[in-house]
Amino acid sequence: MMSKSDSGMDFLLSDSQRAFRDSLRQWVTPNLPEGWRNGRFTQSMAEAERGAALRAWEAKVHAAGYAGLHWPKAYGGHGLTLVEHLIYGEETGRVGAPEGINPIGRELVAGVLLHAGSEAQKLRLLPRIAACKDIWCQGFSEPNSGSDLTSLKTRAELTDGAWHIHGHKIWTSYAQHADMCLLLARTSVEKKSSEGLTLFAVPMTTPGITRRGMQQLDGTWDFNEVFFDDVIIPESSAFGPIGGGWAVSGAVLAIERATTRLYRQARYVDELKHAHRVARARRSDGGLPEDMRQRIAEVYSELLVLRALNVHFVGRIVAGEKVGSEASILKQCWSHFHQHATSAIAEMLGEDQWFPLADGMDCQRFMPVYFHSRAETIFAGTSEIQKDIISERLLDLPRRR
Amino acid sequence: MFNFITEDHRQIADAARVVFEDLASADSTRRQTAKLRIDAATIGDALSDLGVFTSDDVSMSCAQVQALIAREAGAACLPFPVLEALAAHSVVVRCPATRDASPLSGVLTVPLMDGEGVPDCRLTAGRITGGVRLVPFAQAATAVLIRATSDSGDVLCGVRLAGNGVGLASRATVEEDYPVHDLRFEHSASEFIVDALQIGESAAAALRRRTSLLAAAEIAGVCRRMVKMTRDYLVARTQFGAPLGTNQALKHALADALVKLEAMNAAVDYAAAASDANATDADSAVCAAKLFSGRGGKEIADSMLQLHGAIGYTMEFPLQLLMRRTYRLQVAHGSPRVEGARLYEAFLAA
Repeated sequence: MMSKSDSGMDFLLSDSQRAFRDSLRQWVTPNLPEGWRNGRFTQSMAEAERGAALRAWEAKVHAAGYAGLHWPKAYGGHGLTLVEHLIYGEETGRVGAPEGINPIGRELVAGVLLHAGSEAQKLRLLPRIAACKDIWCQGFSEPNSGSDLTSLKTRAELTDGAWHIHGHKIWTSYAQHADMCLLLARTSVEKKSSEGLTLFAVPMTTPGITRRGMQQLDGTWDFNEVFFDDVIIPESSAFGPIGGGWAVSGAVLAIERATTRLYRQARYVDELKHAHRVARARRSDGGLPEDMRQRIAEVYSELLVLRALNVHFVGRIVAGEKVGSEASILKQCWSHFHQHATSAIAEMLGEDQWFPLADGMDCQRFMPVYFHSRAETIFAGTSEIQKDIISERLLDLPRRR
Repeated sequence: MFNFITEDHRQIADAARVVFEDLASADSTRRQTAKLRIDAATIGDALSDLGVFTSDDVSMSCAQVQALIAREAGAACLPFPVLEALAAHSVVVRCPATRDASPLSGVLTVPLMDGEGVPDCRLTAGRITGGVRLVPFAQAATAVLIRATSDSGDVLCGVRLAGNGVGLASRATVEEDYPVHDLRFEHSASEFIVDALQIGESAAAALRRRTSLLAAAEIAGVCRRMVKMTRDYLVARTQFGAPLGTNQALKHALADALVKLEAMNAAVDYAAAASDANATDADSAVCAAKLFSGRGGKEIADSMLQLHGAIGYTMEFPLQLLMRRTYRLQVAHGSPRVEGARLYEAFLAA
C-alpha cells in the first residue's frame, strides 16, 4: 500500500525506504534544536555557542541512527544506499532543519576515505565523523592558488618518519570549529604541477597551526586562513598514494559536485515556500500578481528539474556507475537554479528581503541565504572552471591553457 | 527500483534511433538534391513498421517509451506530426471503448493548442460543430482528435478529416514544412469518442499531459542534435589559425547548452516514469519538464545560431529547421504561460 506523500519520488521507493522516510519525518520536527525555526536560530548566539549547538544537533542525528546512512556498518555507518541519504536530505530540507557543522567531514572526507583511505584510517576516522566527534575542514585553496589549484605551494617533507608541513591555506570553511583538516600539500616538485601532491589528515591541535577567521557576506565566520609553521604529523597521516593526491582530489571534487548539494533541493523549495507565505501575508487580498506567479512557477520548475537530476545521478551511482566530469552539470544546475530562486525571492519580498522586520515571519533568513547562494557559483570549483571541464571532458573541445 | 529506464526501453530507443537516423539521412539527401523534404507517407510507414501504433502491446504506448521515441523524432526533425500521432494513439489504446475496435486506420493528429479552457466544439447527436485552431498535417492525417462539450461533460472526439464537412484554413507558420490549419466543423460526424480511460483519468487530461511530455521530449531531442552539430562545427572551423573550439567564450556557451540539455533529459525521464506510475507528482513533473524544456530549448537554439555565425543564418544549412522546431514547440502543447499557471497551482498544493 502506497503511503501518502507530498514529497514526490514516492513511486521510486521500496516499502522499506518509505517506512524509513515516514519514521524520519516523524522524528525530525520535534527534535529540531531549541530556538530553531524556518531554517535559522531565532535567538542571537555567539559563534562558539552556534558551533556547539550545531555540533549537538549532529550528535543527536547520529544517536537517532541517521548519520552515515550509506556507509558500511564496519565504519560506523548503516549499510544503506544513497537513496536513503537522499531521503534524509529531502526530509530535513523540507522543514529547513540545520545542515550541521561537519559537511566537510560527512560529505567530502568520508568520500575520500571510502575511496582511497587505508583500512586502519577508515576504521579509526569514519565512526568519529558519523558521531560528529571530529569536525573537519578542507585545506585546499591558497592565496595564490584558487581555481589554479595545482599550483599550490604548501610543502610536506618526510623527515625521520614524520611529515613536516609549511604553508598557508585560505577559504578554509569551518576551520574555527575543526578538529581535523583534510590537507592537500606538495610532497615533491614535478614538471607537471598536478603531480607531486598528496592528501593528509592533520589534527588541528597540532603545534604550529594558527587560524584566523574572516567574516563572510552571509554574516557567518566560517571562512578562515590557516597557517602551517613546521607542523609535524605521523607518516601514516597521508591519504592514498604519495604524489597521487591530485587524482584522489579529482575524485573528491567530483563527489563534492555530484553529491554534496544533491540533498538541498528540498531546502531550496522550503525557502521559496517560506518567502511565498510572507509575500502573501503582506498583501491585503492574500494573492500575488500574475507576473510574480509566473516567476515563482519558473524557479519552481527549475527546482523540480533539479530533483529529477538528483534522482538521475543517485540512480546511476546506486547502480554502480561512476560519475566523473558529469558531476559538473549537476553543480552548475544546483548553484545557478538556487541563485535564480533567491533572486526571485528577493524581488518578491523587496523590503522584507533587505530590511527584515523582527515580527515572527523569520524574514531574517533571506539575506544570508541570498548571499550564500552567490557563493555557490564560486566554491567547489567556480562556474567557469565547471564550464572548462564540461567543454573539454564532456564535449571534447580542444584544450588551450 | 531507482533505475526506471530498463533494458527494454534502451532497446526500443536504439531501434527508434536507427529508424529516425535513416529517415533523416534520406531527408537530407532529398533536401540537397531536389530541394524537397521527405514525404509524410514514408515517415508514417516507417513508424508503423517500428510498432509504435500497435494495439496489441499497450506497453509500447506508455509514457516512457513514447518519450524516448519523441526524443529521437526531435533529433531527426522530420516533417511529420510524430508526437501528436503518438499522444493520440496513447489515449485511444487506453480507452476501453476504442482500444479493441481500431477506430480508424491511418494517422491521427491533435491540435497544437487545445488543452485549456472550455472547448469551442459541441458534440450533439454524434455530430461536431465548432472550430479548433492550429491542427498540424490536417491534409495528410486521417482524423483529428479534439475536445468537445457534450451533455455528458467534455469528451475527446475522433473526427475524420476528408469528406466530413471539415473546413481547412491554412495558417502562416514558423516551420514551413510543418503545415498547420484552423478547422471548422459543420455537423461533422464524430467517428468515436474517447472518454474515461482504464485508470479512471479523463481522456482530455491524459492527452494534454502526454502531448506536453512528448513536446518536452522532442525539444530535448532537437537540442541534442543542435549541440552535437555546433560542437562539430567548433572543432572543424578554423579562424585565427586555430579551431573555433579553442576559444573559451565559445566553449563556455556550448557548455551552458549541454547543462540545459542534460537537465531537460533528466526532467523528461523522471516525468515519463512518474506518468507511467500515475504518481502524485506526475502532473507537476510534466509541467516542470515542459516549462523548462520550452525555455531552455529556445535559449539553446538562439545560442547555437550565434556560435555558428552567418552559416547558421542561411536556409540551406539545416540548423534553421531545428531552431524553428524549438520555437514552435515552446508554445505548442502547453505554452510557458499555461504551464506556468498550472505549476503555480501545484506549488500552492505542494
